[in-house]
Amino acid sequence: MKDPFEQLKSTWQEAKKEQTAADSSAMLQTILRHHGNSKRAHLMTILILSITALGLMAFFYYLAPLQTTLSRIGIGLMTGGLIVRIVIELVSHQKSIRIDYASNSNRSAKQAQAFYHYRKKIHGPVTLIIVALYTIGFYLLTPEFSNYFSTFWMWMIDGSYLVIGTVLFLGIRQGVVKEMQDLQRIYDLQDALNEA
Amino acid sequence: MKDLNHQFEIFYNDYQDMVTTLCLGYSKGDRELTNDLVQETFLNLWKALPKFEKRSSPKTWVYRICVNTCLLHIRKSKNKKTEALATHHASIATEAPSDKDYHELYGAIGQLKELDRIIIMLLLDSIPYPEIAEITGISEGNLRVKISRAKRQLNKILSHERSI
Repeated sequence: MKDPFEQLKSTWQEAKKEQTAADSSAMLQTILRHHGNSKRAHLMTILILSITALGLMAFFYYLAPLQTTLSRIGIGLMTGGLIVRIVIELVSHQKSIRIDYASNSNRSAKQAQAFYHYRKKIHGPVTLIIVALYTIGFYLLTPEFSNYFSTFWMWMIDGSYLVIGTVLFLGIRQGVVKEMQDLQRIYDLQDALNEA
Repeated sequence: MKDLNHQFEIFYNDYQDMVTTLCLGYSKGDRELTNDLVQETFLNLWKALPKFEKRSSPKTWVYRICVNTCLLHIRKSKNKKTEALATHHASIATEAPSDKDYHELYGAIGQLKELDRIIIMLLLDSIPYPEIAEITGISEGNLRVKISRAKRQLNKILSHERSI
């Protein structure tokens, strides 16, 4: 009787022969489009963040030039936070493309682990500090804003920030949980690669 | 660029069946995931092509990219469909008429842990031990232990399935 593994081997070879070949130029077009899309998506994120930062700066410089030191510190914290976020996004992208898939699995897994470690750091204390500074910055504008808006509108402005903040927090949290699961998977893979 | 694309097409024509079968085995026969993995593998291959040095055999090089793509693949949202291929080939891993014949194959391999699954599939593809060690970065001694353990487990799965 044939060894079960040998039987499996011949089934494997049959399965391999039956794979229908898709057109190579179709595949090339698909991956080029995919590559272009992911590059565009990355650039769009940077662009949106940059426009938001520039918009904020322009708004407070030209349309609502706030006078008090407290307000100026607030603007600094808000725009500063966004600029740090843009830099993080750029660094993160650079780190992700450094994972060498043509290397052996052990080395690739180590590179992926380093990337997710960086993401863990970013998602943890760094993001929290950025969001906290942005929030403090926003509320530092409130005293001077209250000179120009009625109490009702001040409640509306401060309240809407809370709603937006909560939605953002939940969105970020979801992303963090997902990435931490990915990190755990890579830890497990690394363990499996190294265990005897 | 033209040269690179031409080189890509040669790699694709030579190794697409090997890559698709490995991805099918890794995904336990899941066609949607297989299409994702095959596209991702060839995207990674296209990106790595300019750095390809002929120090290792092209086959080993493609295997390394495919194995790493599978192992490091992060499952995307179910809503995000695989990008359709540009022409009438809607997907790479189309449902073959005799697909059901391979359920036992993919089912048995699929019960192994991810890394063991990869090692067993390389073995089924008759890749010699030193080459598997080179692809995975596992020492040969360690690899032998893993292979004998995975083979034992696979035989147990197969004999259990056949006894049902």
